[in-house]
Amino acid sequence: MLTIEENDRLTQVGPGTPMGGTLRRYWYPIAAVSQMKDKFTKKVRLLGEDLILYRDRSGTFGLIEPHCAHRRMNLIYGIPEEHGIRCPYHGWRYDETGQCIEQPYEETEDPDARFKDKIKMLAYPVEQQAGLLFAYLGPQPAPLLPAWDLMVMEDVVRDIGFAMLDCNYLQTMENSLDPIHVEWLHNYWASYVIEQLGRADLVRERAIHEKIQFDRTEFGIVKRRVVKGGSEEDDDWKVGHPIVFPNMLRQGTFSARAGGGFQIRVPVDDTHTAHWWFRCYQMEDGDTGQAAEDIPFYNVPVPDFDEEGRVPWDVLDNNSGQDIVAWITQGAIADRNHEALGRSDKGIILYRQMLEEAMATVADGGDPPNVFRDAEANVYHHFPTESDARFTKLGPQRHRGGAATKYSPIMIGREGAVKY
Amino acid sequence: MLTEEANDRYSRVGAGTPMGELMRRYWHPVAAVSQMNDKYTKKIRLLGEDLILWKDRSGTFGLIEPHCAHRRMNLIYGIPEEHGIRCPYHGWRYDETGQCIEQPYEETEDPDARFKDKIKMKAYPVEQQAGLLFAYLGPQPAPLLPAWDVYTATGVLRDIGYAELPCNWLQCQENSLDPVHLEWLHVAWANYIREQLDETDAFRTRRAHEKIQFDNFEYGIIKRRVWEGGSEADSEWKDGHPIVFPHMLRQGGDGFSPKGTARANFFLGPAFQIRVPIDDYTTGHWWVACYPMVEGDVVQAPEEIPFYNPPVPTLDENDQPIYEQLRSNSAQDPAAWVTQGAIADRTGEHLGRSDKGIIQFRQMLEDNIRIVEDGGDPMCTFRDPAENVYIPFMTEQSQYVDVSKRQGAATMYSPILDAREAAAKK
Repeated sequence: MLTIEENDRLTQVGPGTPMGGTLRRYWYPIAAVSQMKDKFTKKVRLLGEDLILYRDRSGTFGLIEPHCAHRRMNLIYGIPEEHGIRCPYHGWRYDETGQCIEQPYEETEDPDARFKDKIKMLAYPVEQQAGLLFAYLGPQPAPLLPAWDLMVMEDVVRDIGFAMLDCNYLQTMENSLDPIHVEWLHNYWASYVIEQLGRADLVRERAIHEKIQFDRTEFGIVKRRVVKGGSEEDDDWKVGHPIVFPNMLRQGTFSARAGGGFQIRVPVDDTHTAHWWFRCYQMEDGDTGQAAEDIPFYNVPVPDFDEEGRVPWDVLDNNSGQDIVAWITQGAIADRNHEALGRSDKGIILYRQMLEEAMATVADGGDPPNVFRDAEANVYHHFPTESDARFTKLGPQRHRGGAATKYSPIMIGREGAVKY
Repeated sequence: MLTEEANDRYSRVGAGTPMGELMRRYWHPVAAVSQMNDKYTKKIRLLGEDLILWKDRSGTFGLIEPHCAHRRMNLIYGIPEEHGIRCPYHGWRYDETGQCIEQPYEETEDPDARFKDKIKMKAYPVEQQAGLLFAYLGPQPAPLLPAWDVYTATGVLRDIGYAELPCNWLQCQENSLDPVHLEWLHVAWANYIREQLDETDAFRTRRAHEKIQFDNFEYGIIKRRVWEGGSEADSEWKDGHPIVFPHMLRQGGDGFSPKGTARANFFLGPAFQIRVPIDDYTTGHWWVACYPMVEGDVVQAPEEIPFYNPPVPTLDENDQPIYEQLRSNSAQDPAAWVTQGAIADRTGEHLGRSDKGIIQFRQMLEDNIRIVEDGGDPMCTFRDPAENVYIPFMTEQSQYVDVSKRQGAATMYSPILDAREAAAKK
């Protein structure tokens, strides 16, 4: 149980808040490159700030405050130029640093006018990695984009799933520090969902947790479990399952056909989370390398009651749909003043402690975990992840019963992939 | 750049605010007569006040506060009588001054009951002109309805467009003091919009503004411009373009020039854009246009003047612009106004040489706010009928713009021009 103040401290992400200041030390995905193929501007909200992502005609991306500094028209309507974005109202043009670089009428009246030099809009750096556009809203100098294995490995194909969730980021992250929910939400309740769908053949066996443990690592936390019928010799315990600080869950061994992925939880504001399913697959016969703009983007459906209050069972037959309803129904910001944590929740307590430590580090002027500034030490960060061998024995549906693989265009496109 | 206090002073229009008191010295259109052809009551919001416009069975219009003085049912459900409007709850009846003129049960118990004499609802005068119903919310005596040419010209047909915009009125009006936006919003951006729609054959030619100037005149401000390749001999500079205080833009030349020419059928005569402050965050935008009559036209009765709704541009469900909605100037302008914010944050603006007209207009607002505070009549208040007969304006007649193309303002959606175009095709 947290006090109201402690809960606010961990969940509020706006500018000037302790957690907002700490989370501003990281790069966040704000769009897939392929989402920008058919457009030049896109509204973005990140850490409580409204912004416009734009692409100019030379292909440079910029992230700028929405309202033109001149007379405040919104740049969602901006005109892309060879370099920079032009406000449609009076033609002021800005570059990707936010600097105003043209004020046509000023320059007509006075060719030596330097008014534009005084105009600089708020703008943030944007970088591309693995088909994602990342933004950094924190103090300069910006750290490096982390070289997480799945982001930088070659000879793979990738796809990118997305959903906007009406809840705070912390609920989505705490879920990853919580092994026990797999047995209930994704086994027992999943079977009930499957019963509602009349698919008894897909009913899942419940993996009973006998033991759980959480260890700090260089990059975050590894959660471990022993399930009934298994032992500490299993990968579930020996290798474990990595949570990458502050906002990612690593999934899959990558060796398996379902590939490996990150679930990335991006704090949009205090009450919204942009949830990304980023996934890599080994190349198979016929696959070719993807350009950044060719990496497919897809929307993961968010379960919602229908007009008559009925539960949408068909989007709850997969782990992602099941997780999302847990997170959202905890509340826009879960009231942790009324939670009751037990033995199953040690991982959550450890994670909150790491968040507190990171806030203290930032308050002292230091870099929190996973901030990389040395290019030589940021080449390839590898994560071992618990094998899915055990799950395999539970039945073939495991291959696509998990996460967003149900909706993955690459999995759907692969002939012979195990049907959900 | 304004302080927050100055921004509030010029934008907010509620009762008791400086701008609200200035705006209460003018008549404002609240509905087209033709909107009332099929109904007897209509909700109205004006200067932050909720009201009910009603029409009784003898054709008299009234504008009254919404809640019956008896037990507060809303008169949007009111029953029109031969004279006045009756509350459906217990039958109390009111006339157009707000006076209660009948309380049936009171009079049953006591035929001499005079309780109704003590009941007077808030009501405001309504007048009809050029197919519009105007309301006046200020202190009595009310001034005259101005005899602007748009309203009093004869030998014309009219139509009336309306859009409710989710932004403060001042953004709309400042746009009219800003010639330079034409070259960008209505040319450069219009071309980008057409590029998105694969309609590059409809590209407009951008001319830069070389010079702009703003002159106060009796009824407001005249803006002037010289285009690249033009001169001070052009109509754009000599005649200029009048902004009528406090919230109108005049369009359409002198209104009658090309009579008898090939273009006459599609010629826009005298026209106003009127920016009515509904409340601090909403503007009722009216396009009132006259078209010189051509052969076959018959004079319109007020209730025959067509009413139409030009679309208001919005973003789609993915927050993307909908370029199909943005072809006309009267959509491009609202895209600017609305996205400046519910009330534009002028503490974050940066005005330059292009914005002299806006600064001058704000000064005119300030001067007139002070006149009202000192008990005087502000600009464009008419009290002498002899001086309020027919007030003509001249508006720049550009040799660079083909007015017959129906790209500008609301002409794209004008039912009169639609009808003329359909007739021409036969």
